[in-house]
Amino acid sequence: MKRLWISSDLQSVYKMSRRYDSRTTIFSPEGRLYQVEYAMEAIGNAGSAIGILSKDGVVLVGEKKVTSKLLQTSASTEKMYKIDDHVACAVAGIMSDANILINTARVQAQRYTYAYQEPMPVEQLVQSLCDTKQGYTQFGGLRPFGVSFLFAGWDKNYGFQLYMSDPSGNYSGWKAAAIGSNNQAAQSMLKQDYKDEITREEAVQLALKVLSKTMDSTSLTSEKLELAEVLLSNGKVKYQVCSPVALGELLVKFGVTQPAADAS
Amino acid sequence: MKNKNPFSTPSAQFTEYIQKNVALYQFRNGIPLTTAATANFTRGELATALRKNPYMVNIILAGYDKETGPSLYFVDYIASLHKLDKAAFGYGSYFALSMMDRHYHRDMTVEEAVNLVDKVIMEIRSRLVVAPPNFVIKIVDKDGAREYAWRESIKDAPVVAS
Repeated sequence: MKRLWISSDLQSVYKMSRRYDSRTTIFSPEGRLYQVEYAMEAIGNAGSAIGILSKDGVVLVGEKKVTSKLLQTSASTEKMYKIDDHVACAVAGIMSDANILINTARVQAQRYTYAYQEPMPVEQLVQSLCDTKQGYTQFGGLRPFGVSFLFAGWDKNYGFQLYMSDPSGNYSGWKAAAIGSNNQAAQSMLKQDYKDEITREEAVQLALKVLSKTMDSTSLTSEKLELAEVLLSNGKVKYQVCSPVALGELLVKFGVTQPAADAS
Repeated sequence: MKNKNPFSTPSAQFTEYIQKNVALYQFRNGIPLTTAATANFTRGELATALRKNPYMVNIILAGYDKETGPSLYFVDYIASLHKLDKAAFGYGSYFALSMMDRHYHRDMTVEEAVNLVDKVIMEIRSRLVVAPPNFVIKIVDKDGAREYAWRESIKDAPVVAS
């Protein structure tokens, strides 16, 4: 039996709508695709991620939901992934779904470079991946991917760019965006404080500040966060992940650290 | 068992295919393909077909990009690709290349280049046994591609009303 998203408290009033839950490939009478909406519900419970576009780079910050002293964090990341030398992404939602899509994006980027011997323009990569996601909302009878992405990259056509995509296969370009839990609160906070000529350092500060205010957890330490930046260094695009030590220093510098309840 | 002969398909079929794919890219993505990307794409198509049903087409690709200026690519029928300043194909290529080796230099003006082309045409006319009678000169620059001039030995005779 296929595992699908089951409606929770959303449609308890509309009993008839349950008939339209079980298949992705049909509309409800109100013209909605319930499976796609349920996928977005799932993402709303996942660890949040914020992206901010600045003059000299794109900043991605993610909240790690899985934190435990037993976790081996040496090389693996939970939220951020490099797609190609000039594009990276932050993830919110079902991690296993995300892995499939990240691999697909990587293959698409390399396939482009194989044909044209040039890096794939960022928007084209996002569009290509979103076309894949859209397929799962229209045919095949398979459920949609329970992942939202924030894509950060640079190309010679449009410079630094930030895109957000969701399970429906829709995407759009943003100056600042948030996905995952409390993303609406984060988004409105970003709307208030974002300025057009923001520098990369100010963007990092803004992202950490917004995340600290919208995260559920009581304490904010560098173990709960991931920070990465896409920037230009010597004319080449660089994807830079912030080390936990440096991240801790930044949290202190911006006055954003909240001591844990049992801190000495 | 039709069309096993690799020489059967006319060259226009391949080049039009490339042209339409280049146009499609621009429609889809809102930005034009660079000359380099077009050249690599073309070479890739030739290479893919090479060991099954090769296109017997040699191509000299000329393009102009806003960021990098004009560029020239030599693509032959077995999918070699070279970025060059001067190129030639055909029986007259030996004469053309020798003339260009003698007279070409970087940063020539368009006028100097057309004069060199005329020198090449003169050589072909005098030296090549099977020289064609007529030549067309085209130019590619920031304003696009256009026909610049014809060099005709045999003009079409005007049609006489019977």
